Amino acid sequence: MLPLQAETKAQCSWLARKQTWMSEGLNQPISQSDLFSVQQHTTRASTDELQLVEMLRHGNEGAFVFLIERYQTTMLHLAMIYVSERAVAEEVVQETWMGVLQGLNRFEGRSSLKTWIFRILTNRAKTCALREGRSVPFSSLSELDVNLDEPAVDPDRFLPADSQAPGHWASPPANWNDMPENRLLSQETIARILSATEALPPSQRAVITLHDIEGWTAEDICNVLGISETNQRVLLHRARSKVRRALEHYFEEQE
Amino acid sequence: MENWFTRLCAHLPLIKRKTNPAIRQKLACKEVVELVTDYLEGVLLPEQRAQLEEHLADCPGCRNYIEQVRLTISMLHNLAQEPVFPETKEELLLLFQQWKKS
Repeated sequence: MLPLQAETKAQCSWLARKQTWMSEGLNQPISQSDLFSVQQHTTRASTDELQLVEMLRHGNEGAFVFLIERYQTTMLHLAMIYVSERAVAEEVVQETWMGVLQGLNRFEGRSSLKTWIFRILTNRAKTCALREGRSVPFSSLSELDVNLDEPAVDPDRFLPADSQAPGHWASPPANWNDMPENRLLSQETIARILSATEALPPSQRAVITLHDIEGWTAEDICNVLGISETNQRVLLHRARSKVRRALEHYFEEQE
Repeated sequence: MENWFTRLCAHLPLIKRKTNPAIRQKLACKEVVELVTDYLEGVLLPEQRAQLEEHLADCPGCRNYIEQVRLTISMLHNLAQEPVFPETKEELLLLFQQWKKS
């Protein structure tokens, strides 16, 4: 797996393109944290999005309400990964909306509207995190989330090297489809999933939230968080493995 | 010169084993669990994919494991989205009206 650090060289060459991108909507100076982001190939804005932007430019309130309902909660969740308190995260989101409105005339649709909005958000959130003196997720400062070698499953679950079938299940996983459905879908199960997700390191939490909860594509996630597809998948893999493990513990406790 | 050549020769059986499907090694369950995300996201090389599916065909434990991960993902996907607070919406609309005037 590629550690984040190995990317830093490649990032420098992306910087030029990133500056072009920034002039599209962000009038903030490039901060230290920007040096660590990767601008991936981007999907351009769809016709629907361009239409929405046109409506916003004409002051259509309905178009703005549509965007709020679609993105506000996700924006808040993502901001909370960078800053410590919900109130601060709410401010970051509000500032982002202001930035979106002020930048509308400069939006040319070279990226999707969603990516553009969320890039503004992560830039604001990073600035805010630096001001708070916090380490910024996805920067070189918090590579640990990716660098640590974390097995997906506790090694004790497998047969040792000197056994007949080394590396094969010693205690194989259960078939969850044999469980009654109401147990799989109970409120308590949902609460367990939520608490397992909240307990994840910030960068893993961000990726699993966007990918599995919100259903974003890997490309969008990489563009918004400024990480490579490989690292995106490493983070997703670790996050999913931990949530699965938490559920397994919970179901076993119940037996 | 002799040095790198000897070293290359020493690696040849390994390279051969990695590239020749007929003599590739079978996956252990411990390795399978680390490939699950790449498998589900469809980014495994065809060769790796075939190797994994071959393992799954004979291993109920790993089949259960992958199914557990699939169920975890679908449960995550079904988590209800927290609605936007009415006060937040009002504040943002106020912001929008101010922007419109400016």
